[in-house]
Amino acid sequence: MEQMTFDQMMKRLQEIVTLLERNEAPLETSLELFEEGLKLLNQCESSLVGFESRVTQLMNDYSKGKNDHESSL
Amino acid sequence: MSQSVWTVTNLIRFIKKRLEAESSIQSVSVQGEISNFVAHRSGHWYFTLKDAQSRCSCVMFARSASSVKIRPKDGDQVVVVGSISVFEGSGSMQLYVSQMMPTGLGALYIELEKIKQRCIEKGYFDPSHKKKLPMYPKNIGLITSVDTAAYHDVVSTLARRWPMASIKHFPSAVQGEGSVDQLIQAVKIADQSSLDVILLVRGGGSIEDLWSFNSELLVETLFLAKTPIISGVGHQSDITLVDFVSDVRAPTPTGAAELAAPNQQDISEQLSKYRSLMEYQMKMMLNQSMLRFDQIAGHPLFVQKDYLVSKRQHQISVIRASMMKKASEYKQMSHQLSIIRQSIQHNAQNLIGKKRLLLNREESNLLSSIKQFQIRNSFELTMSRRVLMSLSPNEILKRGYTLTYQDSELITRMALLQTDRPLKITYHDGSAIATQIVKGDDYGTDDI
Repeated sequence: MEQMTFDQMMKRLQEIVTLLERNEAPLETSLELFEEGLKLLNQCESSLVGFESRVTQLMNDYSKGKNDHESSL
Repeated sequence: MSQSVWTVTNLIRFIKKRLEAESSIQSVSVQGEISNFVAHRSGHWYFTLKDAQSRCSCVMFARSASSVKIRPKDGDQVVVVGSISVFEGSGSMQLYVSQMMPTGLGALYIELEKIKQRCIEKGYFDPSHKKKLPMYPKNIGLITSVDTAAYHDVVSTLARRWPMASIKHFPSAVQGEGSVDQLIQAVKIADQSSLDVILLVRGGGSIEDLWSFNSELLVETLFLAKTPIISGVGHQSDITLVDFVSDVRAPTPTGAAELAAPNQQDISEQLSKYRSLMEYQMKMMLNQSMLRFDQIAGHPLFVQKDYLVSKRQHQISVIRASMMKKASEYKQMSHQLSIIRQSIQHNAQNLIGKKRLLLNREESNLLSSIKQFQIRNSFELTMSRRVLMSLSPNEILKRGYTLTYQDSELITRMALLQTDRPLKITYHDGSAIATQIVKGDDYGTDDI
């Protein structure tokens, strides 16, 4: 499977939850969906954590760069 | 002339209208000597322009008068530019002057107008040829003379506003002999130096000083240049042909520098605004994503381990319960059925028993009745027999009575008795025959 974007993963997750809530699919299919859902949950979570730390990192870098620049002036 | 009589007003108005409709004298340059010059308190100038033969009254309104560099006085030879009209109050023709210059300059001005017309005809001033200025120039060309106020104004303004740009100076004389050629050369070189924008500036001066900036060749060179050009010549009021052909005209060299580059402080503020916006937006997006994620991650599907099966388990238990219920109902029904069957059997047996008993009883009753009947009948028979027997003649005979027959006929009455015939007397235990028979009471019956 090709790498999905966060949005795509969230969309798919929503879809899976809706399908499972409807509770119409055979149990085997539901189980597969559930498995996929759990996988996506993990991926989304790590993506989110990644995003957050990246944003924090970038903001810190920016502030640091700005301070360095200003102190050099 | 017309047949009717005109009023003065109508006549003056007619002339005024005719004059104003004549385009050849609506923007006219006139040379003459000033006399009766009056500068009114309001700033308007009133004077007469005259030569050897004629005179013409002139008005120069304050707005135009303020831009005239010389202070005219009676006797001055000047060239004025204006339009002819009639002042209705006095009925006199007047020249409404918009520009005034000393006579020597008047010739220059006339020359300038000619060049300007040619440039206009060639389309050098056409707005559609104006190039757009870059927002954030990196390389700025500066064409001006060395070490002048204009040069320093531009350099210091750019250093303050946009120090990140590098300024390349193309020195050139801006007035005097050879200045036009130098300027043209500088523009050509600058245009091939990969610059973002070129500033062509010089300080203020007289029309003679600025004359190089009215060169048709320079205008053409600027028109053909590929790089956007900002002109900033002299002061606010100095306008040269270069200003018409440049892509943007600034009133002064400093103004040209300001137009050439943005103010870094503005940009810095803008950037910090963008940064805040970006940060805010990014955090909001992140929060939204987290919220969305939490909503899904917190779904019972992923929280309750048995969520997927519990519903089915529930369904199964519901079905089981309903089956159990049905089973117990069947059981109960079958139980009731057996009770009913038993009760039916029981009742039937009971009924049969009762009926049988009844029948038996009837039977025995019948039998006993029959027996009794028999007994009674036999008793009655016996009795009857006995009675009968008792009534039998024999029995009676036993008591001493006899039967008499004559010729086998029972004689029950005396009348039937015949004396001449044997008489058979029957006793209970035999009979005897009597041969002598006497009738009546002769025979002692009393004894009997």
